[in-house]
Amino acid sequence: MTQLTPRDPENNPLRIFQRCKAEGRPAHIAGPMVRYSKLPFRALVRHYNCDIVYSPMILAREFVRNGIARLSDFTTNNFDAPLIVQVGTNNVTDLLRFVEMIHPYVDAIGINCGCPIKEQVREGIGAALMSEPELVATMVKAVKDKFGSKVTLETKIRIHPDIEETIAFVKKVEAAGADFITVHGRTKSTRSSQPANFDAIKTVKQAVSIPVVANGDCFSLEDCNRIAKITGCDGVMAVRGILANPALFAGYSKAPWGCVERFVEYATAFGLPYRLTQHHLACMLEGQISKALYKELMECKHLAQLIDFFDEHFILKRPWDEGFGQVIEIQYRVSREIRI
Amino acid sequence: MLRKVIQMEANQVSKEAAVRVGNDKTSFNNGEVLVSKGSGKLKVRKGQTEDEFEVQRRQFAKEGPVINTLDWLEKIEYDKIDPEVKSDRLKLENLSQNLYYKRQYARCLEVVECGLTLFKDLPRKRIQTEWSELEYLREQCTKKLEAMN
Repeated sequence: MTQLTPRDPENNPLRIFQRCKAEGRPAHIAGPMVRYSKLPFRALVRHYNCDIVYSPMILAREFVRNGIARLSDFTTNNFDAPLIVQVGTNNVTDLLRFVEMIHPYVDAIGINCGCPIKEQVREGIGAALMSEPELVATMVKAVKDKFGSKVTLETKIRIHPDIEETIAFVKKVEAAGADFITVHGRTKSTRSSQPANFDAIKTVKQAVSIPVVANGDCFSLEDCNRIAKITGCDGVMAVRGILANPALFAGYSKAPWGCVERFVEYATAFGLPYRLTQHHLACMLEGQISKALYKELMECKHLAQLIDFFDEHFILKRPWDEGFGQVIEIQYRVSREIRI
Repeated sequence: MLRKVIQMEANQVSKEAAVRVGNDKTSFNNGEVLVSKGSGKLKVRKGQTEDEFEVQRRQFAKEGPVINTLDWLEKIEYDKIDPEVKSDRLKLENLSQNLYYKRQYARCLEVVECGLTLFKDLPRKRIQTEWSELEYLREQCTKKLEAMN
């Protein structure tokens, strides 16, 4: 049976922030996505200059009570590092129990205080915590009191309509012992079509002394560097951008074909629910292939059919093929007119 | 009228629950919390006693998280697959997909046949997608093997 090796302190996010600072750049971070930041995707983005990778949000309440939930929510391996597990919780008890169980297998733990999904907010999870600074500070303090430096703890927040409220929030969380903070430059009701407020993130960065990560509207390496410059943050997190282009931190303007090849390998080797595999590939290829091919991809009913779809229309290399994962442009097998 | 009475009773239960639970999320207790439902009613999310947590903690400490390496599927022991358990069925399905991706059609066909035999007595409705994928794989692997010979 494969055993997991103990965590390497070099993979601690605080250490990574230091290293990146010495290199004169922000840390590149693949943010948490409900459902989509599972092991195959985490393994994929690590090929493309990504320094820190998040798990999807895991509900503490389910994780500590239910073995089946653990089985579907968290799979890993010895290469799954640096890894931050994001937790959705609304009380100290579930959080402490969750941290106790999971901390040996991750490099840090992040409390989700920003998820605007209404089902979670109703439960007092995610963005609901934005209006409960005392509770968040108490949760942070409880973890730090119990685990000290053994656990690196982050809180991910959104900004409030009144930035003063956000400043008071982060100061409280910092005082409670949070090791770093991620700030999404939107309020919980701002639509993603509205631009992220980087000035607000900059204000937060200036208000605290712990590292701050900027989140929002990072779709390219240029965006990343621009956001870091405006905000002065220690890291930049991409979420929607990295879902469409997992290679963005490596400077690619769109998902290279090699990225598709690697993802199919990881998804079939590690295992991933079919609809998630299909969605990842659709995100990577949307706008890059014709509408007809895109439609055909979306109509595949299961993974075997999807593999046949790729083999029929494209040259999808396997790991033992020369040049696997290296090609940038889409490798078509079919004649050109079908593509247009 | 009846619906109104039921609603009033439900609200009363929620209020009583709120008083009973106290909704203290900041102390270490059994994790029982009050949450609001879409309808606006309050609902108690059950707690977990220290003993119940200890069972879960020990189980996870013993087994650890599921480790997925690049070759973990190849180590699956077919005879230990319980067709009634979804995660077990999934392992067999994942293995057949992985072999198909690797173009190991003869081995894939073996695994598919094993799956079709194991799952044949399960209600078809419950495993519709799994079953149709296995049948698809059987057909495709057979075709590809015939084409090779």
